[in-house]
Amino acid sequence: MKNLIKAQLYQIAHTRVYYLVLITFILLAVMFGAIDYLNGADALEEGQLLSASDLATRMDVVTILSVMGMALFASFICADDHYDKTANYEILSGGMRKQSFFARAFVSIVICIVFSISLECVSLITATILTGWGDSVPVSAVVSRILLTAFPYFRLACLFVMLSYFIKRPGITFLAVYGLIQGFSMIPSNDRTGVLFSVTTLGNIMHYDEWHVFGLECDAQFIYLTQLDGGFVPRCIIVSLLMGITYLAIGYSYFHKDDLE
Amino acid sequence: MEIYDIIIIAAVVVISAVLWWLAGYAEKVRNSRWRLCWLTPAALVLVLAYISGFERLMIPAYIGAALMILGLVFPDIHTRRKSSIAAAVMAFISLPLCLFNKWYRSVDYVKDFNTGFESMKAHYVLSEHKGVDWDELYDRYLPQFKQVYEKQDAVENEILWEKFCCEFNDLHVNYASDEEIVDKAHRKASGNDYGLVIVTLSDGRTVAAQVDESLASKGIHEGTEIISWNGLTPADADKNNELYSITQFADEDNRKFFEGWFAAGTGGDTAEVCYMDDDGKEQTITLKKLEGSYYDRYDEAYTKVADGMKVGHMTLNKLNDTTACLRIKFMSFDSVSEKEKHQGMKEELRQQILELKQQGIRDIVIDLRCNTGGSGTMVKAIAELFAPEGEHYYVSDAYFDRETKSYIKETDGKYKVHHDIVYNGDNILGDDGRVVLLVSDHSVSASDHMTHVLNELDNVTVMGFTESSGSAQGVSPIKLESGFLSYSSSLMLNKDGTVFIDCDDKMQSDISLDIKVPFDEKAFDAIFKEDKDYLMDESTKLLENMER
Repeated sequence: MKNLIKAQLYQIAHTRVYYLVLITFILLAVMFGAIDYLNGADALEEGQLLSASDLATRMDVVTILSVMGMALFASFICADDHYDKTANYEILSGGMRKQSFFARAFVSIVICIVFSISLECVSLITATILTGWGDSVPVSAVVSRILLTAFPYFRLACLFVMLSYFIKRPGITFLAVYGLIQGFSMIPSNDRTGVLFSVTTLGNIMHYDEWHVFGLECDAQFIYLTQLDGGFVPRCIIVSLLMGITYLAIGYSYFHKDDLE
Repeated sequence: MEIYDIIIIAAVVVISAVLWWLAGYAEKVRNSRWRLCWLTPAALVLVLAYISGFERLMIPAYIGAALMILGLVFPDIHTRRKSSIAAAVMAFISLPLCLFNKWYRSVDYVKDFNTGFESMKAHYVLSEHKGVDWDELYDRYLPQFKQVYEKQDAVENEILWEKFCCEFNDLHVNYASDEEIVDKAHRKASGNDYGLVIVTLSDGRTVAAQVDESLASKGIHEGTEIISWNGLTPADADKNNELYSITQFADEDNRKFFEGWFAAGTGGDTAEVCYMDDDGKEQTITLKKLEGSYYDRYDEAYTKVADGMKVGHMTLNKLNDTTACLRIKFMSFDSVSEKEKHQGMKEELRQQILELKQQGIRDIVIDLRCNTGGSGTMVKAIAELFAPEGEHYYVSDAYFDRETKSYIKETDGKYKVHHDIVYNGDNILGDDGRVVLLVSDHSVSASDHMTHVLNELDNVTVMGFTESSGSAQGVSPIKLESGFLSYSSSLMLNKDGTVFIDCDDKMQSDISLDIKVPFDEKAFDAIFKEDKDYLMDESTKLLENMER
């Protein structure tokens, strides 16, 4: 399996399209990080200046970018080798299905998580360079929340791997999984647990409860609460891990007995 | 049961039947793609649970849907059919669990109380000013919320929250779930209807108002003096009515005005009333409760006494040849106005007033009765129109320190002022023109601001049976699972750093009336017997006879 993982990494490192996709997403993340600066955030009155810590309280757009990139990476890494029959030859030449599946799943999941977290960091670093960090939320709170997103990203990556093995066509898989996620985000949810679906889990992690004060001629000042609801963090970790493992188990079970063309 | 939960149970049962049949068919047509069908129930249930929310009592149905995944993992007919049967059974188990259990879709009222309480304790800006004892409040209310949680009674929860809000004597502290529950709560709290409301006249007598026709034969009509209700004075009987403890008054004088108003909702199937008959003799009779709740009768009487002119919001209506009324029902105009600080609205109003002036209108009555508040910039824009020329003071914004995340106090114990807000008067009515401002106890928030600001002007007379509410700070809402809680969160100050308008721990606000119109027999007769707008009539009389 180690060799299969190496082979996957080699293949990714030598595929130009992955670099193009990566650069495009990084540019988008940089643009998002710079958007307040470009809109004149540093020219506002004192107390109203928008800084990187303000951006950290509304990172939803970056998570949308991340999910889009994850869908692309997972579907191409897992499904492309089925489309061009590489995976079939791998098995015909004596490779085990288990190794074939888990090597690709492992590479997809690691790349998806690293890619998503990096994208969030790129936006924040860009904003910090241009506008400074500010005082809306402390760095430690943002870092811990970004690290926590690894769990819903893991769950999401596992879902994408599972669907890639069902569909086995990279383009269609990408459209299907991304459409599925976008479709879900448009449905109003009444989920009080906050962890029933990975996208809402991500939203809850990146959302900072706030209170604000205002005056008749003073703009509102927002004070963000950095603590997450006590039960949410373990719930998020446990549900994300369980669901992720379930998706992988289902995906493998399907692939294990699948008729390869 | 909620529709989505019914759909989940039905879907699991129907799909399990279809998959039971498909298990046989898939044996004949060997194709691994068929296996994906066994994921359908789990996927569908996940979507539906996402929409409707997770429910513990539906866990058997969720497990049932998940069990059918076995058909994908072990694609043999026996496993598939067994999993279909197991799924259907599990789904059916959820049905009685949800139907006959009070904890189905239960709301955690205790958690809601804790969330709301903690938020208020941290951010309510009038804690010191009103001398709030948070620990005592918590100890008193927590057990009551626990009881409500045990009963899972949304109406009791509404009543309890409203009682809690009344503890602050601040009309900016409010709780509301949905409209239907609020209405049910008020009806439940108000008690029975015996056919009358008892109101207190300015000379201290308590008289019957809004009297049901059926009481005429018993000798009670509009204005009949009521001596006691179930052996208690009306003021004492008030305290037996739950509506009394959920009706907000910030100012003690306003509470005093409505003394006795809640008495006639108390009692069982009957109530004993002692009254003075038309011959001046004391009579005691027993009244049977009528259909419906007391709330409707109380509300009708309240509307007659306290509500304003029944015309459109921000309309100018001629009262006589020289006076027009500007009715302001709330302090907002349209979505654009807030952004441009109501300058467009001000110009529109200026044009209307100038047109009226050309028709001979000299004075304006601004009717703020039961104005629910809104924007301070609208107050400023209207004050600019009517104020005499020159600079006038409105209010001071408090200094908020971002580092400590709190309002700062100076060494003298007063709050630090950020800056004063002033405005320039246009004196649109000219030197002869006068303004009368009509207020009631539910002229709240921004209408308290307007009352305070215009009261400082020489050409304005503030009139009412009661003062305006005396609640004037900035408000923020928080969303709880069962409703919304709002409270004063942003501080407004006087020039010297003291709290602007709001009632203190002695329930006294900075609002004062130029003319407190006595609610006497004359006023009572005009309102309840002749159906007149007594305050409006008094204001026009005042303007007619005013020296200029």
